[in-house]
Parts: sequence; C-alpha cells; structure tokens
Amino acid sequence: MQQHRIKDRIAGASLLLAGTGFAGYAASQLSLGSFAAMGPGMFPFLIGAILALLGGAVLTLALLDGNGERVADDVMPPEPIEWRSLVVVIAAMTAFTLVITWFGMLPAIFALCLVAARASDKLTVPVTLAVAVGLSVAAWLIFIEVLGLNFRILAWPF
Amino acid sequence: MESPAFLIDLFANAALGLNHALSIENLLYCALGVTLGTFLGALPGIGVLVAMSLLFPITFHLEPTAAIIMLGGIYYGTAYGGSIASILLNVPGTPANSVTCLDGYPMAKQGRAAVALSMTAVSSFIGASIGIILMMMFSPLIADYALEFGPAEYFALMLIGLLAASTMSHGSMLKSIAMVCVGIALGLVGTDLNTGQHRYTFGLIELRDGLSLLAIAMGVFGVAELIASIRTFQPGEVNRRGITLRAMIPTRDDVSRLWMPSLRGAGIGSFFGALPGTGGLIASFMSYAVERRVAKDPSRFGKGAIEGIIGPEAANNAADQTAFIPTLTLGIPGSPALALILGVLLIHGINPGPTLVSERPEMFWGLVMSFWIGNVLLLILNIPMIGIWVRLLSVPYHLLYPAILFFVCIGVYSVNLAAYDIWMVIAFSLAGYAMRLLGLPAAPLVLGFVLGPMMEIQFRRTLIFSGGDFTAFVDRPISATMLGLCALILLWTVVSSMRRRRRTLLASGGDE
Repeated sequence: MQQHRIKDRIAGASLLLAGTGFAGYAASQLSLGSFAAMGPGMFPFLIGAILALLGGAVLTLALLDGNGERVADDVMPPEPIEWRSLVVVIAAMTAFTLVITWFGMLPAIFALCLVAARASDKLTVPVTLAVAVGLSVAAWLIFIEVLGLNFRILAWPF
Repeated sequence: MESPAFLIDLFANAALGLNHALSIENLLYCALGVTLGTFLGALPGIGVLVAMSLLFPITFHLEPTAAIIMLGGIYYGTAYGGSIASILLNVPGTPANSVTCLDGYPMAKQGRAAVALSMTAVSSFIGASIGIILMMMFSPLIADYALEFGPAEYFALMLIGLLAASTMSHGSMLKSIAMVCVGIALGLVGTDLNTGQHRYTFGLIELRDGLSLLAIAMGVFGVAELIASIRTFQPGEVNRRGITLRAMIPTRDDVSRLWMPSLRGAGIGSFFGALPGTGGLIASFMSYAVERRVAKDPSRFGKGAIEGIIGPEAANNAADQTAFIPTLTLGIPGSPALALILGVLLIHGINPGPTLVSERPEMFWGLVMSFWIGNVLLLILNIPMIGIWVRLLSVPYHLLYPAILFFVCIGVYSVNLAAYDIWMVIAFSLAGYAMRLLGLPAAPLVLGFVLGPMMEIQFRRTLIFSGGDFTAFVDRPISATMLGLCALILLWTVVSSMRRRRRTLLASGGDE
C-alpha cells in the first residue's frame, strides 16, 4: 500500500508539473488573444490549466489518504521496475540508431541483436547470431525487395 | 429505409467496393493484415495495439486504401487469433478474449480443444458478418445526418468520445482524463494551423510538423510493453495432440447451440462496438453474462459450456466491425486502436468524417468489402490452417523479442530514413514505461493526441462564429444534448468514486 501512495504522489506531481509548464509556456511565449479571436496560445493554455488541476487533485488525494489505493483505484498492483530489461532495450535501440547511420543496416541488425540478447539468459551468442541472420534476410525481403526502399546495407563513414 | 432505392444503392456501393477490394494489391494486403493479426493476436502479451503499432510504419509506404485495409485486417485479425491462446493456454491472447478462457480452457482440458477452436472461428465469423451488415446499412445514414453538424457538434462529439473512453477503462478516472490532456498537449506541438506560429518547438526544425503518432504509439505501446514482459513472460505448454481437422467437426449438439448465442453475442457486440469507449472487452463480458442468464442450466458455465465461448467471441468480433462506424462516418474513434486507423488516414491526407462516404466512396466501400474478404480468409486461417498457429504458440519468447525490437527500429527508420525518428521512439519508450509504473494509462493519451488538434480547430471555429459567446455550444439541440451527456458522465464518475471512497474508508475503519 505504501507503494501505491508513493506511485500516486509521483504521478500527481509529474502531471501537475507538466500542466503548469505547458500552460506557462502558452501564457509567456504565445499570444492568448480573446475568446472571440483566439491566439495560438489560448487552447494550449486551457489544456495545460486543466491538466495542472487534475494533477493537483491526484497529488492532493494521494497526500491526504492513509493509503493511496483509494485514489488510484487501480486493478493492477504496482509492478517492480525491470531495470535490466529497461537498460538493455534502450541500449539496443541506441546501438541500432548509431550503427545504422554510420555503418548501414546489416551491422545495425547484429548490434541490436547482440545488445538485446543481454536481457535474456537463454540467448547465447550462436543463437543470437542465428536470429540476426534470420532478421537480415527478413528485412532485406520486406523493406528492399517488396517495399523497394533505399536502405544502405553496408556503409563506411571514414 | 426499406425502400427499394435504398437497397439498390447498397448493392451498387457493395459492387463498387468489391471491385476495389478485389484488386490484386488490396487483396494481398488484406491477406497479409489478417495473417499477421492472427499471428500476433495468438501470442499472449501482444495485444491489438502492440500488433498495430508494430506494423504501422509499413502503412506509410502503401496507398491509403491498401494501408487501412491492411491495418484493419490486423485489427480484427487479432480477435480471432486471441481466442487460440485463451483456449489452449488459459492466457488471453488479447484482453477482449479473456472471457473465452473461462469455458474455452476447460473444454481443452476435456479434450475438446479442436471443437472449441472451430466453433469460436465460426461464431467469430457470424458476429463479424452481422457487424459488417450493420455498418453497410447505417454508415451512409449516419454520414448523411452528420453533414448537418457544425463545429459545436463536432467539439461536443469529440469531448464525449474522449470522456467515455477514459471513464470506461479500468483504473483511476482522474488519471485517465489527465492523460487525455497530456495527449492533447502533445498533439498541439508544432505549427499552429490558424496563425502559422510555432508552438512548443524549442527551435527544433523536426518539431514544426508536430510529434509523430508513430513514435508515440510504438514507444508507449510497443516498446514499453516489451520491457515489462521480456523477463516476466513465461510461455505455457501447449498440448498439440488432438487438434486435427477431423476433431474440429462439431457434434450435432454443438451446432444446435451455435446459432442463438452467436446472434445474441453479435447483437450485444454491435451495440457496444459502435459506442465510444466501450468495445470488444465489455461486449464479450456482457455476452457471457447474458448467456449464463438465459441458459437452462447455468452451473455448466465455467466447466466447458460451449455457449460461453460462442457468445463472447461473436460479440467481440461484431464490436470490432461496428467500431468503424463512428470512426469513418464522424471521424470520432471510440478506442485507441481506431485512433491509430484514423491517424493513418490523416497522415495520408484524408479527413474521415461524413464526407468520406460521399467523396471517397471507393475507399469507404472498398474497406467495407475488404472486411468480408478478410473475415472469410480468417475463417480459412482458423479452421483448416489452425495447426500453424498452434505450433507458433510454442515459439520461445526469447527468440521473439529481439525480432520485435528490430522491427520497431527498422520500421520507424524506414519512414524517413532519419535517425531522429528512432530517437523519438526511444524517448517515448522511456516515458511509456514510466507511465506504466506510475499507473498512468497510455490509451487515453493516444486518443487525446489524435483528437486534440481537431478539437482545437472546432473549439476556435465555434467561438469565432459566435463572437466569443460560449452559449454557442449549447444553442443547438444536438450539441447541447451531447454536452449534457458529458456532464452526466463526469457527475456519475465523481459520485461513484466518492461512494467507493466512503466504502473503502468504512472498510479500513473496520479493520483498525
């Protein structure tokens, strides 16, 4: 229950912050205009203000309550953070992005698979390489042969 | 409505649509869509949104009609595939199939898995057919009626759609509405259409065109889901024996139990599918409850009653089809999956709404007729070819997730061949996973994102015409009624959450 409360406090505070920021930007950087002739800032300002109000309500209820589940009313219990999967997935996508811009698609597939394999204990290096080969063939078929896209398969930036 | 002219129109339109749907290209993409939909639907943990967002980038490279035919196929294909996992693994392939576990899995344990699979396929087909017939009959009428709508009506309609969708989802109502606002806010990033001024771009050229629906959908549905399930998901053991074509032939008793539950399920599903915010999940639960109530012997339910899988499966497939009615005729999607379909149309420069039916009949009727083709294909995929999907259920998940991750990355990259697009997906994946941990739902965000910019346009238009007078929203009976409904929805949720609050307070007071 403790976790529920903390979860809702963070959620409420982030929503409040996001709403205030969004409305604040609209009020300071854009012209609001009048309701008859609205400027570009009016609608965003209203949305930001409503968001801040709702975020404030979530936060207040979470602070008032002895246990936060009453606010959240969530069916799902809070789940533990999957740190390893999170780091591996983001790292794999980052590796793919960097490698594809410099070295082309083929090395990028292998980079993604080798990094992504770190999330599972079952993916040994030979298995991973086999997956990468399979994906290379699939990617070549779908994106180059069928959709006719102009991918660089291999590149050398230097 | 029963006039012969109406029927003649209907047949002419159907012929036009069939002509388009039967072109080699559209036929191919329809087949591809339903096959991928069945496959991804059958895999537990990959719901309709993940499936659609994974294949979303491919639609950028297609003709708009082919694109929505394929995406539509994925959408209703997952409902067929999802029941396979429910019956064989006791794990719903998609949430809308959860109720099918209740009697489907007991049937499998009794050695009747093959019959359960064939009968759900048939009832799904019946449900979908009724949904499509209703769509063919009512869409033109609704579109005609909606031509009269002004900006105030559209604003009210969008508001009701957003509110209904966020209150019907489980979880906190406050958080859902807040997430709708976050979605609208994200949708407003970019160039203001009225003044040409850049909003929230922070000097970045890429942001001038706004954030991409693709990056948001892939991040918050696809990758965030993947992060949560890589290490926690355990595929179950599938008993493949006994699933043969011969074993799929139902007994005379099974067939006699097919018709009424299917028709009742289809009716319930068609109704809930067309309403904003409800849909397959709610319809399938309602249908199950109804079947239990009308049954002569309700105690059979939960122990392998075939009506308990026939009704709900007909319901969720009917709902999937009628959900297209408000999306295509009014431009108001009732669920995030339909918001993605609407998003694809907008990306291709097509404005869904009452004029779509009259101005792009080949597209509208082509899509409708592709539903018929798609559902016939699904019947084939799910009866004679069922063995393939059953085998695929036992594909180890650790081989699958690098592939999913790869298709996310390459798919996004393929749209513009720009690294920026993948960086955006990475950013939204982090945000999506954080939202998941904080219990902030992603579905209302996507609905808000798609509808937000349109809402702003209608809001501004209404007030420009009225000279800033807010009574313009309630001057006309239709918009007044709809806004009244919005107020009722809000009131009802506030009252019910207060009640619940008091009840939990009392309950916890009793504990102490």
